[in-house]
Order: sequence, then C-alpha cells, then structure tokens
Amino acid sequence: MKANQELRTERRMSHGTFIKKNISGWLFLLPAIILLYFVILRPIIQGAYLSLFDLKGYTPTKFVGFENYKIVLSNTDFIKTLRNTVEYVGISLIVGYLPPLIIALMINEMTKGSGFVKFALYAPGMVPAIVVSMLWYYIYYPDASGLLNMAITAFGGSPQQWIQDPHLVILYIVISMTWSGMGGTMLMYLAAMQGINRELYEAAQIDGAGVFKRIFKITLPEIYGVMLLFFCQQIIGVFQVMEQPLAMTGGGPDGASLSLGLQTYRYAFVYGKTGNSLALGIITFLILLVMTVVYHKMDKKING
Amino acid sequence: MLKVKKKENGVICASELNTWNSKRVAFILINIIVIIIALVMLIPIIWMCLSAFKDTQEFLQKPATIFPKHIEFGKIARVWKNTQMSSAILNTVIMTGGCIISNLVVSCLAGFSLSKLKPAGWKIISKIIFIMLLIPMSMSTVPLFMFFIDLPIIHISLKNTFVPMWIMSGINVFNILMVKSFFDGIPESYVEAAQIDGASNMKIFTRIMLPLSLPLLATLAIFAFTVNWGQFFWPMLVIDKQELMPVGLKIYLLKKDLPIDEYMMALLLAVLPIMIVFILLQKNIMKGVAIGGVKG
Repeated sequence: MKANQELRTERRMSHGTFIKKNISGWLFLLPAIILLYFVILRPIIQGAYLSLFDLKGYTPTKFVGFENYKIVLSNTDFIKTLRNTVEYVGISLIVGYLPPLIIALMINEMTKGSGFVKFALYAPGMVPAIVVSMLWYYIYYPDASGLLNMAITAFGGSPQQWIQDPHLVILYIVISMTWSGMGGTMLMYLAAMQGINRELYEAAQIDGAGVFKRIFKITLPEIYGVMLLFFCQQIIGVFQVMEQPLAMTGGGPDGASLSLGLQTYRYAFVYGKTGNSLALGIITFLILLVMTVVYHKMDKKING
Repeated sequence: MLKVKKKENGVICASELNTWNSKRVAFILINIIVIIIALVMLIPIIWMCLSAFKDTQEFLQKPATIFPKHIEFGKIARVWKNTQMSSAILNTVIMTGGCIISNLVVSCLAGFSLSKLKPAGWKIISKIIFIMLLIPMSMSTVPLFMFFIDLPIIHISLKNTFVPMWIMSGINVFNILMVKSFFDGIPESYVEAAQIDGASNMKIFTRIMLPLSLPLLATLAIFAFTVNWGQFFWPMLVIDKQELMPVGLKIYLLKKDLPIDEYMMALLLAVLPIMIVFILLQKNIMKGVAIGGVKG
C-alpha cells in the first residue's frame, strides 16, 4: 500500500524534481553525516590505526605493530582490571536490572499516587552524574559524618569503611549508579506496559489465570524487546564505566575499583602513554562489538 | 475503607479487588512498598539539602543531627561567592545552550530528510544510524581529543572553547531516529501541497515541519539540557582556564578544597537549575523518557 503510494509520487515527479529532491535531501543530511564521520567513525578508524604506532605525546613516531597490545595485555594490572570491569557489569545486572522492571510492574498496579512515586523515582535521574558520584562519595564517607555511618552509629553500630573497602567498593559504586539510573528505565518499562491491551488481562482473568500467570504469559512477552534492549544497553554501558570510579575512588583502594575505561583514560592522560591507551581502547571496543552484534542478532529474532 | 472503582492498568482487574482476598492484600502491600521505595530514593537528595545548611562543626558532632540547628541563608551567598559560582553557571549556560542548538538543528535536518525527502540511499543511512545506537564510544576519547586539539588540515586547537562539547552533542543518533519517526506521523499531503505551491524544502522544513513538532522540540531541548548541564569529563580534558569552567568540572575540582558542608552547598547550587526545570516540567520530561520505552 505504502510502497504503491511512493511509486505513484515518484512517477508524478519529473526528472528534474527527482534530482532536486536528491540533492536537497543529501544537503539536509550533510551536517549529520559530517558529524557522524568525525565524532563516531573517524575516531574508531584512527584509533585502530594509531594503536600500531609508538606515539610521542600525540604524534606517531614509529610503526611498532602489535607492540602496544603486547605491553597492555602483559601488564600485571590488565587481568585485574578486566575482572573488575566484568564485576561492575555482573553486579550492576544483579542490583540494577530487575528492580526497575519489578517496580514498574508494581507502579502499574497503582490507582492513586503514581504521580508522586514516578517523580520521586525519576528525580535522582535528573541529577548530573558527577553530582551523583560526589554526593554518594559523602554518603559513603568513612568517618562518622557520612550519611550511612551516621545512621549506623545512631543505632549503636560502628562506622564502616564503605568505598575504602577493596572487596565491596565496586558494589557501592554500582549502587550509586543504580540510584540515578533506575528511574528512567522504570519509566520506559512502565510506558511499554501501559501499551498492552487491557482486554488480554480481562480475558485471562475470566479463564481463571492467576496474577503471576498473567505477568509471565501476557506482560513479559509483550515487553521482551524492551527488556532485551535494556539488558544489552546496560552491559555495554557499564562495561565502559569510567567517570564514577574516577570521581569517587580514582580506581582505588589499591586498584580495587579500576575499570578498563578508567585505565584507558589513565594511560593517555595520567601516564602519557597514548599508544597503550589506544590499544586498550581497541581491546575494549572489540569485546563490546561482540555484544552489539549479539544484540542485533537477538533483536531480529524477537522483533522480526 | 479501600474502594477501587476504576482501574485502567495493571495485571489485577478492578473486579478482583471488591472482596477481601489475597489479591486485595497484595494490592495494598504493593502500594505501601512502592511508596516506601520512593521515599528511600529521595533520602540522598534530602540529605544533601539539609547538610548544605549545617556548619562544619555540626556536621562532625556526635550524635549527628538530622535537621540543621539554624538555617543561615547568608551561607548560600558565601559559598556562591567563594566558588565563583556565577561565572561557572554562566559558562554552563553557554556550553549547554550551544549543545542544545547543535543537537536540535542536526537532528531535525537529518530527521526531515530521512522522513520526507528520502534521497537515494536514505535507507543505507538509516541503517547505519540504527547500528550506531549501540556502538561503544569509550575508545574514542583519545582519538577525539587528538582531533579537537589539532583539527585536520586547518590545524586549529579547540582547547579552552566549548566547541568540542557542541560538536559531540550535535550527533545523537537516538534523537535523529526520534525526529524521523515523529515527522513520519505528519501527513505526506502537507508536504505535497506546499511543493505544488512552489515552496522550497527549506521553507517546508521551517514553516510546516518545525511548527508542527514544537512539543517534540521541547522534549529534545529539555533532554539535551539535562544531559549536558553536568558534563565534567570532556570539559576536564579541554578546558584548563579557571574562568571558563562549567559547574560539573568545578564540582569535581572543588572536592579537595571545601569543607564538607560548604561542598554540599556547592552541589546543591549546581543541581538547583536542573531541579527547578524538573519540578516545573516533570510531566513533559517523564513523558519524554517514556517515548524510549515505546520505541524500544
């Protein structure tokens, strides 16, 4: 139907307007294409190319092949950093993947007061990431002036180390990220749920299907596409975590919260080893590229 | 006590809540739990506001106080002055304003072309844009930085300007797709009628498409505002002049210099503009977020 219409419009147009349409069409696209090239494509290509060179500052001096990769991979910190990064992703999936979905399911049941609840849950999402990090830095402050230690000491407990604790620091950073990120995800789930036809539930009720059966047989299948998208977005997003550990711990204590992203940053802007930074960036990129491809494959299966 | 007459959403149907049964109990519990969660989520923000007004001694005293003993409004002015907040806010306004403009202009032009002009090859471009949605960007930092400090061919450095942030904000593939799908909803006949009247594409774009999509433009602008207001990472890389720093960067650098209570006040001042916008426009903002869920 639509294709037919397009065909007819095209036939109605003379040859001249057809060319004109193309030229002006591409002119309108031009700013986006230029930026797409310079901001997204060129950095990837140039980064891959320059990672094969020895760089002095930001100028390539000598072709060294995979030397940068060898240095980065054999660095004693690499395995630790990779493991930390995987830990960030794993913990963020545990702490942050299901809660927004479950909360959205619950808010979807409310008849009153959902306006306030949505406001309260989304408000942290409006706080800029750097302010979130710094606010939680003080919530986790290891002496009695931090909010959590204040609460603990008020109940007679002794102050905890929080982000100074090498075993749990990643968990605490992830909690601060989840606090601000959850509201937006929740709102998106909620919107997807509200698009589901009410009659499905009423029919299920008449058929005697229980509440959980309705959730698993009607609600969730209708939002699988969104769930998959958020799952992959979260993995890809958290795998690149950098600003939060940079602001909250600087990667410490003793490298316990160092992520691949932060290490890439440190190679370039702290240690001045641009070539190593580029190589580590490419390694991270390749790991994530696999994720992106998997997502597009799975998305095709679900959404056709 | 509890009467649910109308229930238009959710898994549980209204008719199931008329008698005391497990579903009614669950319904009440859900309401209580959600409200508790909502209140807990607000604690950090409330704590920030209260702490900002305590003085340093009160902050460290035991047992800790919840509410500040006396609220001294002079402190706002003092911290504002000490941290040179006015220039930081002004810088942020300029930086964010440029980001919003570049974002809207590029997204709308591209969305218009992909939706209505459809030049040969538009499908490939759409496909590329769609793939870019999930492309990881973390590795681009260094090459992009090299690009900004030494633009190819013309060899100009964009250090200590806001241009790098404006350029990066200009390309937002999600927004292009959003504009395209919004423009898709505007009937083809409007465009054709204008074309028959001899209107140029630019005229169609500015006189027909843009006026019809003001709500969308507002949503995109608000989002660009909230995303860019607190930027600190790129400003940290490209700006090293004190007088050019935006609030996000200021907040990051002030951490070491201020006592905790004054720092809380600085945080509060930095988020205040964004919180005011949120409180005033919360309905539109949350509707805008929800679009992501429907499109996804």
